Amino acid sequence: MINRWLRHLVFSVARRLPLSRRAYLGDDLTATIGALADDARAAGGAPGERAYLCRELIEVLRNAWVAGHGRDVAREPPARRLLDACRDDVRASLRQWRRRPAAAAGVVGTLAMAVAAVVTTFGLLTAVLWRPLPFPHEERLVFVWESASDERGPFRVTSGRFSDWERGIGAFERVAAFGAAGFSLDSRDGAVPVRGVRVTASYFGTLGVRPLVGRVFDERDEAPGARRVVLLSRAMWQGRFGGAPDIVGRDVRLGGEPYTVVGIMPDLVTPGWPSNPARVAVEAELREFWIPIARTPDFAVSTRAHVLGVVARLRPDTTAAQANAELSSLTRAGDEDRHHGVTLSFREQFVRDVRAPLLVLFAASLAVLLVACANLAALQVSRFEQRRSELATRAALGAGRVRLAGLLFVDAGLLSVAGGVAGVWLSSLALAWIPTRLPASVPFLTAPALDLRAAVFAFLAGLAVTVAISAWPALRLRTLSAAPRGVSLPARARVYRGLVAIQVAIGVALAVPAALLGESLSALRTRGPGFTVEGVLVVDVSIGSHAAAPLGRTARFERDVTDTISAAPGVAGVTLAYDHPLESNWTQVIAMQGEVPADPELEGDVHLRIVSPGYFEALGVRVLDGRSFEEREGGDAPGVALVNEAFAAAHGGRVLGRRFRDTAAVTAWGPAVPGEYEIVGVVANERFRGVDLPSAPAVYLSTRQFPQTSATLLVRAANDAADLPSRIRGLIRGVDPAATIGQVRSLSDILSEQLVSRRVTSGVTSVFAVAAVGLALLGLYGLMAVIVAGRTRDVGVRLALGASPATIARTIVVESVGAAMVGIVAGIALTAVLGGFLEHLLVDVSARDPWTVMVVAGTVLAGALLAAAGPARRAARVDPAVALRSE
Amino acid sequence: MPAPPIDQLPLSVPAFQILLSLVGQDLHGYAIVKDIETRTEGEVRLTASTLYGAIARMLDAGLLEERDADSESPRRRTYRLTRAGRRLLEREAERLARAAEWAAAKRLLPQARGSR
Repeated sequence: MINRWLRHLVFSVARRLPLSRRAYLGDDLTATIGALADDARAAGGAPGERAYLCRELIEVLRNAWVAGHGRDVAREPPARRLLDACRDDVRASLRQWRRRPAAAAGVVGTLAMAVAAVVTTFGLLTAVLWRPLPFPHEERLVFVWESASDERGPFRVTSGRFSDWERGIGAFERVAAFGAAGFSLDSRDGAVPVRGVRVTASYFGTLGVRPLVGRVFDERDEAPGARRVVLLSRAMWQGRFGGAPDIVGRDVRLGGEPYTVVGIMPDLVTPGWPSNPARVAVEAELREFWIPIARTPDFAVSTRAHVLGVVARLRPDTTAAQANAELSSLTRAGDEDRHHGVTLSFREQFVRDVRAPLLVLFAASLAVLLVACANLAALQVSRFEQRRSELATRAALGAGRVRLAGLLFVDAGLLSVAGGVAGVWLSSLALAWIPTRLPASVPFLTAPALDLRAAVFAFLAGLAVTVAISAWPALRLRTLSAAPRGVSLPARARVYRGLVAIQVAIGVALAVPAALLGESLSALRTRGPGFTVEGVLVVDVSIGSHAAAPLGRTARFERDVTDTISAAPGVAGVTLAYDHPLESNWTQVIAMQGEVPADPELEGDVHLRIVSPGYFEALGVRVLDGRSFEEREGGDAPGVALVNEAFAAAHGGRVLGRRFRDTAAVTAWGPAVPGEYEIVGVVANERFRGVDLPSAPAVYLSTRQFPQTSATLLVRAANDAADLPSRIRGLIRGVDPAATIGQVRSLSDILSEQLVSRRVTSGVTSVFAVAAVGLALLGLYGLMAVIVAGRTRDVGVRLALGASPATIARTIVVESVGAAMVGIVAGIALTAVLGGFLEHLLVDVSARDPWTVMVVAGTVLAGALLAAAGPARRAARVDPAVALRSE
Repeated sequence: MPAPPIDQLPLSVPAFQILLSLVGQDLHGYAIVKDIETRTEGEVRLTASTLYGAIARMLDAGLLEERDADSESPRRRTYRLTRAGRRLLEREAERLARAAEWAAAKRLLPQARGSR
């Protein structure tokens, strides 16, 4: 069967073999093949025949190939002719470049860098914007936040509101709530804080996430009084429990209570730690474990505590718009429609903060590629002029214009292929490296990598480069026959000058935003967040729950730890606060005397900051009006409070002596502490919401009147106390051996973490801008060199007629500055048009800041002078006698 | 890569063997293959397509001529060496002999089988 089929195949190929012009040879051939196959069969059976036929088939094909190549070129199919032509062109092009290896390396290197920049930023952009998130049917997952009709919010959700949505929203297939959970865990180093997420039983099912080992929660785990259960993250299981294989079913002690481990969760980025306005944290250190939220009777009805984040999975046949419509029509009795839910897609939630910086970077890298293209195009123009006589000869020998255009295209294509391949390689390195340098808060839910999309993009970019840099020479081909040689300088210089102007314009349009971003960053770093950052160490300390640490003990711990640490060598100041100066986790609705009480269901818009009396002095927060707290003002004294400028401004400016009610302290400690406070001082705004966000209204209460069992210890180190971080833990242990002690971090580290996205954006844009301006100036230099070379004779004549070398040099410099000016003006105009996109990334500086524009323009002009220096000197040194003889 | 001309030295192995088989006898294609196989004790086994590729080019170069060209049966269409073909074969044989002598002078070949 196979043999018969093989025989047919061999025959049909053999008949097409071009055997001289004698048709009958084909018949002879097939007859002979038949005879030989029969022989082989007689000698070796079917396998023998098959072996022969295979050998014959290979030979027939080889002979067909050889015969094909021996044939008349004119009779070849066009595809092969094209291929042959390409091969010749590639060889010719390679020969040309091999003669100038430095230039070739420069060109390919430039292109590689530009392509690498574009492909890398594209890879990051696609990873963040388009790569699927690691949840099944992620397009149906949404976050749901609460929003007020007065346009405030969105903010965190109350348990009562969540329960309404759980029952009443038909568009949701499943819905789950999650909140923050922090405990102390006994470890080898004493009690350490661990952080996890409280979740409803539906949480993992909604996300579509399965445990590595064991089970996730079910409704029984939510019942009040049910056995305490916990799911551990893989990292916590490995890190804190040594990967013990029998962990499931064992009890672990969290906050002094036993919890039974029911499963291990894989390393997946899942949302946790909701915060305002409508944010979730995805850092691994904030999801070491999960525990169920207990459904106490209060859970379904409470509308006071805005502490939950909500995720929902839409039904397959519904849209987010339908869900939103349902959410806004669902109101509580007596609610007067003040609150409603809004959905936010998963991707939008995670991506919104990085989209703008990434788009800026992508645009910047495209600009660099454009400059590189213009640069190479100019180079190709001048190479074309150099090759003019060679090309004219080819044309005279019968090469058509299409054929010559192909030659130019292949020459450019070779450059883009070499540059593109090197660039893609570079960017694959960069894409592997970048995720390791980014903080966990940047939501790379999937690690970026060079994927098909990026490869296709790189190919298209390469094609665009090829076309861009070969287009003008190809258009100039029609001048080949008309112009003899060397006389086309004016036309060449005009195009060349245009290309240089484009480069300068893009360089300027890139350098201005880069400078503005840099100014914003340094403004954020230097203008001061409203408190001392240098040398301040931050460590979370806890002595347990209120039950474990009654009022007296809590107050004593604070006093002892402050005294002990301030007495230690190398300590310049020490104080305690509920939040460190760069964060704020407690908001409250307070009732100002003499004002209409705020809606109690609103998420509080006043930040509650609870600090030791010495806080303002220790951290350099200025008291602008009134006085600070006093040590002696304890729980039995009348309540006193300080407020910040933002609060004072929000309440009419004159707030000293006014009183407000706040129940937080009384809720925690009972009547032993005051519930009403008199405002005794106003302090400068601290940027506790994040250093690039404006401050919000805040009230400060004293820890003497509202003691905290868990707080942040702030230690200001003296200049020479490099070993202080390592000593702090021991000092605290000395005061209370059972205290839970978190990591010792520095405030400046936390600040740079907050600025990382800005730092990356600003840094990378600067590098791009420097590259673009550098390339543009290189292009300018090339232009001046071409102009001087083309004018040697002209200059010779002028020198011979008595012009001074200085005059000659001056005309060259003026020409260079003129060419640069055109680009600078165009670049400034471009900046003005595009500035709006940048505005919201800028701090303390306008997108059209004249100073920045002037400095950039001045720098580029200085560069233009420098670029002209060499060619100008060469022009001035022309020897008239030599120049006039040379033609 | 185009095939080298068939009528230039050195001859390819198939060309040499085909010409050799036709010395003193006219053979058809199949018989040529068999003759070569027998003479070289199976060392050289041509495929039909190589054979006819070579025959076609040797016909074009005038090294062979057909006999009974109008016959319909391939078995009866035989090939004969022309004078040019014969001369070329002799030159190739001489060249090979000289090559063998040079190799023998370097004691690469057993002496007994030499022509002297």
